Amino acid sequence: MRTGITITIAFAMFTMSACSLFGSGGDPLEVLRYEVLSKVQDEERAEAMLADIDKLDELLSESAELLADAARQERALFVNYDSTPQDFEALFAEASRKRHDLRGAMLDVHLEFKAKATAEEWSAILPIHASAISARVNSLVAAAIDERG
Amino acid sequence: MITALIIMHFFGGGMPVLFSRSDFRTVGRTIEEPQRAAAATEAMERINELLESIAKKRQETAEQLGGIDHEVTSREGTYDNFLDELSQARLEARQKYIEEVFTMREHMTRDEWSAAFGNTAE
Repeated sequence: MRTGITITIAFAMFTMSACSLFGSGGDPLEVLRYEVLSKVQDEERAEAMLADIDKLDELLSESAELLADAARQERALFVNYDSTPQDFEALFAEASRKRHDLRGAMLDVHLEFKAKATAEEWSAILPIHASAISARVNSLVAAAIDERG
Repeated sequence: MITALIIMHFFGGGMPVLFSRSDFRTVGRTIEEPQRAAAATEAMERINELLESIAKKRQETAEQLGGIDHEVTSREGTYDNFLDELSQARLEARQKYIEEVFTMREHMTRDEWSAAFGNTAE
């Protein structure tokens, strides 16, 4: 549908621009890990920040699974003439609860990551950080859209 | 990062996608009585408007959060305020969406629904 097409186009545009930065098929988070190691001179803090990136990646993957599951279930309810408003409400409430939990966990990891950086380091890392996480999220969302069909 | 987080959490995640022009044509053709067809497609229009408004809100929130993310000292509460506001808008949109789906269903028979959308229920 229209949203899917818009997102596909946006994703394609993003992919084209991201390819120059991350290389086709590369792991965008590897670029971020490299950026952290090169900008944060304190080894201990840098290692801890890399661990945060791993944690965040797990949460992003979990979110993508939630997205795909909820979309499939919503579609199944929609096409089923016998489904009730309560079925939809139960599905949305459950998805919302899980999303809220994941949101909290992601924010915690994000803020822990930021708290380990100095203001100068954060400013230096931020552009790559935003692009890398966006690229990772976009690939997960694209995979979820494919699954949705 | 926060923009990405918003996209991940508030794109889809149980919310449906917009009806396409083709969906409108299919529903319009499938329902025999013009009055019912008009009522069903009007509900579809309202669903699309609803989803577009929540997409706009999501985009606005992403921009607001992108702004505060520049500060290394941004605190959780700062993010939560914007995210909670978006969650509330989403909650309201979801409720209206359910109402409109069942408005559509009121105006379509089981066979028409199945012909238009395919009933996969077992």
